[in-house]
Amino acid sequence: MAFARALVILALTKRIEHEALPRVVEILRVTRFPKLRTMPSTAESTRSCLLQWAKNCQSTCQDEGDSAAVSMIEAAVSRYCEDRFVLSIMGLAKRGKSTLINALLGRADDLLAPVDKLPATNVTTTFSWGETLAVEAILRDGTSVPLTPEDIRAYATEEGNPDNAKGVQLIRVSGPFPERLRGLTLVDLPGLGSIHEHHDQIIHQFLPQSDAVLLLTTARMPISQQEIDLLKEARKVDIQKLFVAINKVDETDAGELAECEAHNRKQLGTLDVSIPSIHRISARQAHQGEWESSGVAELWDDIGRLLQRERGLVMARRFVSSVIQAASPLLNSLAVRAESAGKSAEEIAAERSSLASEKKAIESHRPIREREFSLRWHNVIHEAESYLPHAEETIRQNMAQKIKSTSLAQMKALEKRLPTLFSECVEGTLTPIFSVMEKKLRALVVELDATYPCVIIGGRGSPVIKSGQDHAVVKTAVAGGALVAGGIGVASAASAAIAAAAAVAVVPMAGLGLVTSGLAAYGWGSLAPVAAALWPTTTVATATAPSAFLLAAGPVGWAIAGLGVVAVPVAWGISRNKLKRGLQDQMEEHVTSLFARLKTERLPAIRSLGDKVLEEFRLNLERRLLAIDQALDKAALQSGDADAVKRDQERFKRFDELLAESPALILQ
Amino acid sequence: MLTTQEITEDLLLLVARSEGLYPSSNKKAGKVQELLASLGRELLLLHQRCLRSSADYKVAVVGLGNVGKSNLLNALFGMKIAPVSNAPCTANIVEFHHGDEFRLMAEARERLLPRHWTFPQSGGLHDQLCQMVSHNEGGDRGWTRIEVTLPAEILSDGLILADTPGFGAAGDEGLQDNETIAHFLKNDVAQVFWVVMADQGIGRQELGFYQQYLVDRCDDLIVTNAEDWQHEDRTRWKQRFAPKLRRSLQIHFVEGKNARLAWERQDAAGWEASGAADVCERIKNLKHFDGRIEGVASNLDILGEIVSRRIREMNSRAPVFCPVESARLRGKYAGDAAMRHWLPALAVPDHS
Repeated sequence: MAFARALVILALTKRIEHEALPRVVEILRVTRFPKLRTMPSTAESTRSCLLQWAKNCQSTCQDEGDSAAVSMIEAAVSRYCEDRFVLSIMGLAKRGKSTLINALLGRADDLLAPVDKLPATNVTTTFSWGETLAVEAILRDGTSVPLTPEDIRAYATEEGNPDNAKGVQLIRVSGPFPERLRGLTLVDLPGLGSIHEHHDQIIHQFLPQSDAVLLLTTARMPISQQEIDLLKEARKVDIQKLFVAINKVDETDAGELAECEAHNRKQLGTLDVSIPSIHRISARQAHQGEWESSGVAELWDDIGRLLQRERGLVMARRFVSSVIQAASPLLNSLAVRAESAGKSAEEIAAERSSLASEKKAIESHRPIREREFSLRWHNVIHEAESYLPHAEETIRQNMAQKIKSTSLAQMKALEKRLPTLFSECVEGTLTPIFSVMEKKLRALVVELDATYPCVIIGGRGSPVIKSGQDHAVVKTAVAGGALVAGGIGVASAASAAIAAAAAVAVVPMAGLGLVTSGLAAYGWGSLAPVAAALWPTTTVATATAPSAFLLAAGPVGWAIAGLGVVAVPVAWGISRNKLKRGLQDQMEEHVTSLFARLKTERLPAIRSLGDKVLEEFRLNLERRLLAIDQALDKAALQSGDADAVKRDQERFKRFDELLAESPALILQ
Repeated sequence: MLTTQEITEDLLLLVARSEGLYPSSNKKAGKVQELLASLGRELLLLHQRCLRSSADYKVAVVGLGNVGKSNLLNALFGMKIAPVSNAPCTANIVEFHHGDEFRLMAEARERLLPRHWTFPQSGGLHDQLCQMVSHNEGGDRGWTRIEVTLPAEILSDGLILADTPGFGAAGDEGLQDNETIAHFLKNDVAQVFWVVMADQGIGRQELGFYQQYLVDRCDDLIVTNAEDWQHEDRTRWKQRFAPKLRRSLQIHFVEGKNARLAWERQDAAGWEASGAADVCERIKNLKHFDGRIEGVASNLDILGEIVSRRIREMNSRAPVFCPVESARLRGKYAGDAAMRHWLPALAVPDHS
């Protein structure tokens, strides 16, 4: 059992290398969880297993009367359910993207993703699961128009909305789609390389926000330079998760298909991206209900596995760690009670008083540690801020130079490319500054985690407060086989949370979430919606969220995520000003507004994040101490009651085992 | 009767004389100069086409990879000659000439003399061609010129058809192909038949290619794979894409598969219905001088219309064209149908 426990901790804190995980899990399965031998393999089944597990934990907490833990688990569950992957489907015009979407949505018609013989889709549409069918169009000026499904064709197709005259930025559809869409946002992108220039801009905005990208080609038209360029673009924004599928295989014979596949593979080989297999699908057959034979089922599983492996793992880890964090005070308290069996009332009293004095001792140490953390936190941000004026100047100059060096004849083309240029310039200049800042902030949290006091249930169930200079005690306790009810203690749970958060979904917020809330103000809202997306309103849930947010450094980093990307096309998109001067003025205005927002909204928000992190640590420690204190209290009352002790031991064992199941659920 | 070539030459003279009229410092004159310069460029291109019309006439079939260029050619020849595959397969430009035998001639960089083959049947020729132009292993990209002769009726009277690699293919090979095609189109080709696939429509890349290389010598757009496109769909297709193209461009929908089947069955009605007959007619039209010049004439006509409209919109007080020269042309071409759209442009500005 101690061995399993050690594995649990190692797995949760990510100290085992990724490749070693399957082996560890195998050992776990065989030694501890024979009933789990048939493991779920897809993202959906993992999700439902985890949710079931959380529900069991929750009901135990309910039975034991720990209402704080119950509501924390509830919050964790709802956050886990809201977490979504973004899967973008792209390709040249007429590759069957919308048909595939309709198939995935399980729709018999093409109302939601209109299909036509001519290139149809000209506006990006996102689909996600919801209780009821709801459609809204987000216009470029930030207003939202509720639509009926029948309206979509008039807004999302070149025929109904030529040249996007209606100024649609995005259409959002949610509805009671098949289960497979839970936890996913599907993005239907307009076909690339169409004569309608505005398409491409949309596509390049969405690439950075996707967790996975599916490129559709057709057997009839082997992969072209344009498609290769698109993949290169995708790789540039750090999407390694590319899937390639040859669509419309039902319209080609085997020989043609083989030729096509050989060619595609050869071309993809030059790209240096790993594409395990090129799928052959028929979106049309899938749409007609032949899900299995169409090849889409297999593709879907493949995508599901990747999402699960990459971000799903992260999401699941975060979820498990927050549930364990919620439940562990109860576990501690059960452990203390179970282990207090043979102890006399005096011994228990002695333990209580020793705990109390240790508590007092750390009270003097803790505020200093906290103040130190706070100070260093602010210093790091301050340092980053000091580079901003220079960065602002650089961006201004670079952009002005680009505009200046463009001849009048190229002005219109420049205007179209400017949003992309702008975000590239902004990201290129700010990323170095903020990635250094993010790294330092992360290191600060890791250090705080290592040095902050934590509770260890030592040798004979005696709680010890460890001021936490290193993790040696935790390790020896685990390895030594002593009872460590606190095995998943504050420190390891917190670092699990930190490890889990390493790739939190900040990026989708840059566009998918923000596009509604902040469009009116240049498409970039305050931090509020960002924060809201990350930690729901309940205060308990906040406990794990900040560190999660902290570690969410994507390709751009959370400090500037979406700054450039969303800010730009909105204002430029509606502009009809084609003169150099006009572009120059607009650019200046953009830079000013961007930096103003950085200084007045984003940086202050990051500053206050430091306090939230501290709050998390403090709350954790206190909840735990309180639980142990109460447990000792109860143990003192029951002292000598053999039955009660036995029951306590039983309850502890069950709960302990329940909590220990989680890694096996995650690590698939 | 006055020839199109003569009209073009007269108009070129008019532009040349008019260009000297204004000092370039005059701001208003800037617009006039611009108009004259672009008119001059267009007329020069048309004039080149006139000159070419009396020589050997090469007609190229171009389009993106895998839109069915080779298939179309095979349908027009009435036999399977050009290699067809589902990966980019035509790596060289292949010229098809008329001859009594199935012959193949190829020049290579490292050879002093060209190689010749003669085949008893079309099949042998097809196989040899497949091997020579393939992009894949075994394909020898050293060939610089491939010429085929075959007894196809459509090639009689000195018409030469050329099959080209698809442009826009991926990779280095694709880039190389693009250069080959551009060079060929610029230097050797008198007229172009542009092939696109119905359900792919016209993309930005194709449009760019059209504007850069085809616009002055392409009068026909062939929309292949139009099998399940009904009349209404075809109309919508035209409505969507035609505004981006020149008005002189004719759009033909062709059902390649049906055409091949009809040919094999010798089914004249099916051949007609597939749209291939239409294209055949257009190509045959190019066998004779009048047919060749027809495209130039219609382009000239449309150009006159545009110039007249532009001059009207400019509403310039000063005449755009040299008054002496335009008076001469007005006299020379009064009542000539070919010049009816030019006459308003040549009239003296009315300032009442």
